[in-house]
Amino acid sequence: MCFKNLPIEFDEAGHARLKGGIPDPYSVTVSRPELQLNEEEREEQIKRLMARNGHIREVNMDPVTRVAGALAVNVVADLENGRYLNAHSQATLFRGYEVIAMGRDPRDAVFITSRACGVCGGVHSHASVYAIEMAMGLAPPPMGTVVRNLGEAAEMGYDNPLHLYLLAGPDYSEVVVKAVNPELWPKAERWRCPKQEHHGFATMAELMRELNPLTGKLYQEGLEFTRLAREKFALLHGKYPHPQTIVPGGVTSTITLETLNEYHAKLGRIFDYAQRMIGVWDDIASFFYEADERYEQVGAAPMNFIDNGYWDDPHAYDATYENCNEWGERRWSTPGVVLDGKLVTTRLADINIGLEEFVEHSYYERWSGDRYDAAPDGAPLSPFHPWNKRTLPKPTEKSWKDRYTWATSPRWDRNVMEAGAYARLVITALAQKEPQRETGFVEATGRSIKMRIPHGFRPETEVEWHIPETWNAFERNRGRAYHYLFAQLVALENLLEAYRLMKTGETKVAAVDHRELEKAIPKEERRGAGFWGAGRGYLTHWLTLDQGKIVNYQIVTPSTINASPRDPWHQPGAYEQAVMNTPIIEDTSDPRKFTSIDMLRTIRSFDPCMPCTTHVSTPHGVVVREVNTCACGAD
Amino acid sequence: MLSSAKSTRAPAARTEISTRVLVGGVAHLYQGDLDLGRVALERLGDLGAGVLVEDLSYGAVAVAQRLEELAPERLVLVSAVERGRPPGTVERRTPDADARTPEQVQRSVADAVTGYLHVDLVLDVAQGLGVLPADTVVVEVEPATVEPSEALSGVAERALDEAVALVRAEIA
Repeated sequence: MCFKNLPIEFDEAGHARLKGGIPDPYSVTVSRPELQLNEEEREEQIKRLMARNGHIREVNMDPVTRVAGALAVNVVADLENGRYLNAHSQATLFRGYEVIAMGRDPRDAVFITSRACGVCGGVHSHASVYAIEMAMGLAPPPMGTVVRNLGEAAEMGYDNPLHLYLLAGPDYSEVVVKAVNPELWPKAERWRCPKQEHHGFATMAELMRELNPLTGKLYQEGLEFTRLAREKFALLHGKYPHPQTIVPGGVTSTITLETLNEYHAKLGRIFDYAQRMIGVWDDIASFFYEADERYEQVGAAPMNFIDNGYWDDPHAYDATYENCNEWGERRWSTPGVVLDGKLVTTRLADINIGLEEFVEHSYYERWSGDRYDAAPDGAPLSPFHPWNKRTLPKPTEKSWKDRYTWATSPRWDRNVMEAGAYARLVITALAQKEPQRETGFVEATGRSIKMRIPHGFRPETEVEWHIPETWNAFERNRGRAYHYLFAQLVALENLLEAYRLMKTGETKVAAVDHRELEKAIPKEERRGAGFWGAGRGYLTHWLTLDQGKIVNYQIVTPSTINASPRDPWHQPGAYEQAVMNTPIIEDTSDPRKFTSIDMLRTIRSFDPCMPCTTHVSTPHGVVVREVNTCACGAD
Repeated sequence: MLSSAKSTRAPAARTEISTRVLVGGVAHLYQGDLDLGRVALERLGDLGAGVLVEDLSYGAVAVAQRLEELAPERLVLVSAVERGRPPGTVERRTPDADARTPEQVQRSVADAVTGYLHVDLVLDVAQGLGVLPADTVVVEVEPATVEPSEALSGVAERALDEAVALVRAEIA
C-alpha cells in the first residue's frame, strides 16, 4: 500500500482502485498531507521575529543559477541566529512547448519539445518518443533500444561534468572560498586529501585551485570531457543537441561495427576520469564536514525521491502501459518513490497515478473538464494528473501569498518530492531489482551500490556509493559524481549487448521504416506517457492523440519538481524547503558583505535548469544579458 | 585540451591542415533576420583553397573547440545582431582586444553551455580559452525582424548583399 494521502487502495491482485464512500475523494480539502507548519503560522513567526530585532533581512537573489538566469529566490534571513526563516523560489520565464505542440502531428512533438532545454539536448526527444510510441503501439527492436541507451548514457556523460565543474564547481573553488569563506582557506592548505591517489591533489587548497573557472585543471578537464560525451552522442545520432534520429519505434541511425568501435574507444577514456571525479567530490564533502559540522545541514532535506528509472532492458521494453511495471523494473536504474528514506514503490503505474500537478501559486488558471477518471489499466486517476491537466497561462502580479512563479507544484501522493540523478542511485540501491547483468559491473546491496571499474591506465577497481544518513548539498554533488560512473558502466553493458546483437544479426533499429510512420499514426483517441529521465532526474511527457493530432501535451521536468512553489496545503517546494533548512555559516558580522553563499550552494546543488522548468516562450525569443536564445528558447 | 589564454594550441587536424581562413556564420535558424549568418554562408559558397566556410551556429564552447582543431590564422564571422542600430546597418567590427576577466568568461561559458547562441559569446569564450585568432573580424547586420520566419526581411536581404561583399573583401 503505497498511498497514504490519495484515496487509492489495491485489491489482492495488486490492482489500484478508488476507496469507496469518500465524496469528492480528490478534493484538496479531503485528501490532505500532514503538515508541520502552515503558511499562516510561518508568516506569524517571521512577523514576531522581525518586530523583535533588526537582524532579519529580506534578500532577493536573481539570478541564482549559472544557467540562463531564470530562477530567482527570495529569502528572509535572520543573520544573528544564522537561519533562513522563509524562502520562495520563482521561475521567471514563461515558455510554452506544451501549448505549441497542440494540434500538431505527434512526430513534430519530438523536435519541438526537444527545444524545451538547451542543456538537456536529447532527453526530451526521448521522453517524447516514448510517449508517442506508447500511444501508437510501436515497440522498438532490441538494437533500437540499445542505441537509445548508449546515447542517453553519453548524454549523462555530458551533463554531469558540466554541472560539477562548470556550474557548481566554482562555488568550491579557491577564488570563491577565499572571497566568501576566508576562514576555511588556512584549513584547506593544511588538509590532506584522503583521495589524493585518485585525483592527484595533496591538499584541499590545491584541489580548490584547480576548480577555479577557466584556469583550473579540473575546470578545463570538465570542458574536455563534455566534448567527448557530445562526440559519443553524435556518433550515434548525427548531432547533439536536438537529435533528429530518435523516432517512435526506434531510431533511424545507421549503426555499424565501426560506430560501436568508435564509441568504445571514447568510452574507454572515461573510466579513469570517473575515478578522479569521485575522488574530488568525496574529498570536498569530507573537508567541509570536518571544517564545520554545520555544513551537513546546508541544503538538508528529507529523502523524498521520485524517479522513473532509466535505460531500458532491450528484451523487456514493449512500449505498453499495461506492462510498464514489468519493463520498468528491468531498467538499469529502477523506477521508484522514496519517502523519508523508505522505498514505497518501484511500479511505474503507481508513480504515474500518484503524480498530480497544482497551480494555486503559479501563473496559470485551473483547468476545467477532466478528460479521464482512470489510467489505461483502469487505475483511478486524479483530476490533477497531467493526463487531465491543461496549460492555461495567466500572468498576474507577483504575490508570495498568492501566485509567484511560472513553475507548477507537482506532488506525489501529495508529498513534496525531489528529483535528481542521484535519486537513481538511492532507488536502485534500495530496490535491489537491478537485474544482475552477466557482466556484473553494478551491484545494488540494499544500502549502497558497488561499481566495478574496468582498467584504463589505472587498474581494475571497485568503488561503492553509500546512501548517506543526511541528505544535503554535498551529497547531491557527490551522488552526481557517482552517477556519472554509473551511467558509463550502463553504457559499457549496452555496448556489449550491441556487439552481441550485431553478431547474431539483430541489427534492425526501428519497428517501422520512418517513411511509413505516418500510416502508423492512429486515428482514434490514444494516450501515451514517456517515463524517462534527464541529467537532473525524473522527466515525463504525457500526450493524448485524437484524429491523428495532439490534443493535449504535458511535460513535468525535474526542475519543475524541485523549483515548485507552495502547494494547496502551503507545503514549500524542494528548493524552498532546503533553503529553510540551511544554516547561515558565512561571516555575517558585516551585513553589507552578506553573499548568501550557503543558500546559493544549496540551490545550485540541485543543478537547477530553469529553461525546461517553464516550458514556454514568447515568439520574439528571450533576451538575457543582451544575448538571444537559440531555438530552444525561441519557439 | 582547451586552456586559458596563455595555453599553446593543439596541432590542427591533419585533414584540415590547410585551413588558413575560417568564415563562420552564427545564426538562429528560421528566426527571421537572425538567420542571416547561415544564409550568408549559402550565398558565399566555396571560397577556394585555404578558406573553410562553416556554420558555427552552435554552443560557443563547442565552437571554441572547433577553433582549437582548425587553428585558422584568420577568422571572419558573419551574423545578425541586435544592437539598437538602424535596421539593415552593416558593420565591420574587430573584437575588443582587452582580455575578458575570468568572471566575464565564466558567465559567457555558463550561457553558452545552456544553449544561448550569440556571436559575442563565441568571441568571449574563444578569447577566454585562448583559441581566438588574433586576426578576427565580425561582419554584423542589424536585423529588422526577429519573429520566426523562413525568409529574411527586405531590409536584411539588401544588407545581406553588402555583408557578403564585405566578407569577400576580407578574404581577398
